[in-house]
Amino acid sequence: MKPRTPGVRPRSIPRPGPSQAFGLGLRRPHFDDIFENHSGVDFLEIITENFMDFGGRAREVLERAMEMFPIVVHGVSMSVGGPDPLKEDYLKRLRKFLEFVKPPWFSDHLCYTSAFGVEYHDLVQLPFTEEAVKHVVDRIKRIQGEIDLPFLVENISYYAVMPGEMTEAEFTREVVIRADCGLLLDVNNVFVNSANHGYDARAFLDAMPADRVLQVHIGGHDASGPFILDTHSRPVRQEVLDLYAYTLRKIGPAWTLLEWDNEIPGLDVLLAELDKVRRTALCASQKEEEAEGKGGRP
Amino acid sequence: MKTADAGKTRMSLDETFQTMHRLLRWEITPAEAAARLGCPESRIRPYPESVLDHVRNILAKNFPALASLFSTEVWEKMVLEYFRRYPPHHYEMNANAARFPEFLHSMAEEGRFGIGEFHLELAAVEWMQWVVFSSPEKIPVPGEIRGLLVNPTLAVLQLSFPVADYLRRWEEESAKGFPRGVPPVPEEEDGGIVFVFRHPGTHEPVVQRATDPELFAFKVAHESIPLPQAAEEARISLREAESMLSSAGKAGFILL
Repeated sequence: MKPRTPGVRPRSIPRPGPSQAFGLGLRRPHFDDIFENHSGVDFLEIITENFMDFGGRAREVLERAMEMFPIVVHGVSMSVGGPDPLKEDYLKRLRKFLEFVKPPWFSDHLCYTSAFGVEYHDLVQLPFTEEAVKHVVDRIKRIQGEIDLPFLVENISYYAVMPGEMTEAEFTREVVIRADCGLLLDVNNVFVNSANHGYDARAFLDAMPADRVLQVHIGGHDASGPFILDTHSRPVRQEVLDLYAYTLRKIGPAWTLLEWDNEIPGLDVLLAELDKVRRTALCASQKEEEAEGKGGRP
Repeated sequence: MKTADAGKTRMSLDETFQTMHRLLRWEITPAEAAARLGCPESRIRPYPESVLDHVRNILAKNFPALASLFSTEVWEKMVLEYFRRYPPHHYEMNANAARFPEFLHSMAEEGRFGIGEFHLELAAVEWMQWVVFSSPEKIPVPGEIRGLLVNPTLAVLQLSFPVADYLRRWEEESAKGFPRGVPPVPEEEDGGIVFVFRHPGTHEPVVQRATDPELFAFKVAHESIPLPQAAEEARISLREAESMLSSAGKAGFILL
């Protein structure tokens, strides 16, 4: 199936500050360390639901972080594609929270996390259908109408494919372009899905609207079972770093966030891992310059 | 580029939502869901397990002392029953444990799981610890405080059992890895007033049984009673009254 939207408009969402940056998630185990030991950390990402309604230590740490780092806000519970009406109370609180944090953009996942009044606290994939595209595009437009800040959707990892007539790449591209939103491209999720569902990861990346990608996620996964689980509990594998380098050569520089959410190690380990990501990016940009010198991108 | 399994089955978006919802609520088995969706059962199985795990984890996290008073088997049955009767309704995960004390009351009334009065009070206090810990209330810092203030996160509970003392002992044993086991449930009713609040310095929740001097300090701050008048009514010296307020300020439930 060919993409139904013939062209991609030039990037309409401005990137703030440096075009390339490397960041970590602000997680409770590092609430003390991050202010003393943050070499190479250009920005922090916070999970909306871990800070939005909280006072106490979480709010104190957030306020201190805002003085030292650019912050991006990433949600897990908006249920962007869910069947219920968008949660008015959630959006109202989110708007107020975003006005406080003042991030350059905010993001959530291209999936649903609640239905019929029940919260799953899990990312559930939508079927890759035209009906789902229309449904989620309408909702993203509504979110963008409610909150005057660039909104990015993130491609998720999924293990079972819902019945549908489109590929994941077609679905993702259609949604992003028709909703006129940004894309938070999770390279690890692309790798996991391509391995689990038997498609070409690079072809997926080739199909993405590169000028919509403002942020990249990269993280570790667990490949010890019959299929790969996106656990965010391991170092980034070389295959994912290779795919990340390919991604950057496609989209150009981007803000990259190293995700590590389970079995969280000490900050030194994370900083070393982030350095690995940074070196991969630098190497990718050098190769791109060489390629341009020879007259072509991949 | 084609995705594995896609296109085998036709289903409306609403049908997909309904099928996944019934799976995630454990109303149909992964095998039944897989058959409807046309995908391998092994790929669908992690989803309901993960959704239930979230509820299991928030209950274990927010009610650790209570959980330790039940066998693993009984606690798991309670988790499953709570999951069934009280579907998570809040976007913030921990907030979905709020109705667990209410659930325990229902179970006690139904005579299930061997839940007694002490368990109910312990659950209420453990939940209150989360409430004060996460409270959006901003605790004023020195310089912002005019006069005498009650810590805005303070909750005052009237209890029948010595829950605060129990929690202190439980935390001591927990820190040591329970070499002497979980402290036994107090048999005698020996209640009183308990303060639960977020400490202004550490931001950690504090649970303490209120002594008479602490109740005095709380009353003075709460009702904005001039200290000389409060001292006179309590028939103590002004110096004693000042000392009580100072101690309350150090404890953190009064802000000076």
